[in-house]
Amino acid sequence: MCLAIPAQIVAIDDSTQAATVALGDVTKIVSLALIDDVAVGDYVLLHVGYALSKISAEEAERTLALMVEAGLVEAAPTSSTDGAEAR
Amino acid sequence: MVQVGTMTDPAGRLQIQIAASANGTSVRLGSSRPVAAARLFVGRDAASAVRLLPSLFSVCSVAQSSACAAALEEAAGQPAPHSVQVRRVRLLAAEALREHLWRILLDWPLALGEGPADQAMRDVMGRFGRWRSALTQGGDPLQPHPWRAADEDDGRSAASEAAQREALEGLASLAAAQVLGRAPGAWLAEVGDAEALTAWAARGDTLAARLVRRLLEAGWGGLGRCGVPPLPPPERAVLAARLSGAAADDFVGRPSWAGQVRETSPFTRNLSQPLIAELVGRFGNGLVTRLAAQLVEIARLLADPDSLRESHGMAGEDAVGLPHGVGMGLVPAARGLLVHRLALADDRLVDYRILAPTEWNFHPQGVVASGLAALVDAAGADADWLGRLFVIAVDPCVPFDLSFVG
Repeated sequence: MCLAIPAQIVAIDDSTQAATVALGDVTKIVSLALIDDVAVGDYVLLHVGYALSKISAEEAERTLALMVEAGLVEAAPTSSTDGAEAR
Repeated sequence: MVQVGTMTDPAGRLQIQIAASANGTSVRLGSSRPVAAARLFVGRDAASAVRLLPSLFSVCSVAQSSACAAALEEAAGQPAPHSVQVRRVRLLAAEALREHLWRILLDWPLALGEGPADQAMRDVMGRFGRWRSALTQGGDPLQPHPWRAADEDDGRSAASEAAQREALEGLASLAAAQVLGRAPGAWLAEVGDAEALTAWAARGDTLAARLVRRLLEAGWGGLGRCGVPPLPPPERAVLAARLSGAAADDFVGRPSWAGQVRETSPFTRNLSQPLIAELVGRFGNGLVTRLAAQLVEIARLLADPDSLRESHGMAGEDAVGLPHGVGMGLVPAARGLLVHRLALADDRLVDYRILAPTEWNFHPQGVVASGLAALVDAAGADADWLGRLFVIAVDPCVPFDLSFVG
């Protein structure tokens, strides 16, 4: 059951082909070596340290909603309507 | 947008702790993998499950969708036509190749202190995408048959066949250049026994050849050898029964078969291949046998993707009738046997269980726990990197932490 987690790119370091991504309160550094054409604000699927593919904000939202429903990630205690903020 | 709170690691992680004591080495294996995530589908209609499944399990989405489709088709009593099943096997082969090449190109180099072959893996991803597009032209074969649109063709057009061939040939050339050192069919014909593997490793300059050479020269071929037996082709009625009821939660988290822990992996499904059969005689299920099994599998799938059909679970001849509305799909996923069992009532899912290969292979008493304990006792100062390589060779589908304690 290989879940791939959608996360949002918050910073890109071109010199190392790495990005800082955020999901919930957590940020992590992942490699962008396997994909093209991503920018800060995009959503990507993560798998063991790599961004696997770019997905739309809608797809990310749908997947995250599923993961919250399945208890795989916790929903934030307060809600917000700003789609760009998944912190 | 869904607001997400504190995140640990929703995909789960494996914690592998190795402790040495006067009584020998012990390995403690913990997993935070969400083995009960399939509950999410209970209460939904079949079409919703089919739609949601690939979003949730996007890394092995072909295997997951394929197992789901087979289970729904059995529950509905409407098997998929042969042409659809052929394309499913090819999609599974493509996904297995992508996953094996990920390990070989990105993780095996680390064992030799080299960097991952990112560019080659980018090429693999691109070619996988083209192969998948070719296989889904004219209708997605992963859609369960009773829920497919009636006007979909079976993707047998000449254009689809040509595009499939082109994508496969591209992947075969890449594997020849980056991994095998020659065309997959030629490699299989040439490297048919342990002596030939040794000769290939001695002469080859691909990372895979150099890694096998290093292990053989150091006498590490059998490191990690242990007695955990392969999972036999499971009796469907017994398997279906164990995947239902209250005890199913324990079973999908820590599976065993006939009272024993088991392994299901590329190694176990290639046991009858001549090279692997001979290596087992020499090294048991140790490190070089495992790496060789992965090489044999990529060579076989590239030479003939349809050969994956021979792996157990796809035959279907032993299909024992399950109660009406109950279905089970067994597919050879990249890392071993993947099983979905579901129950439908009035087109609503009332039960859904997934049994994945990582739970067999990373069972607390399974092949990784036993094999690592043996490896650490024998590897001395090299136990850390060889232990990591061994875990990679069995291949969990989530990240792992390996630590030495005590």
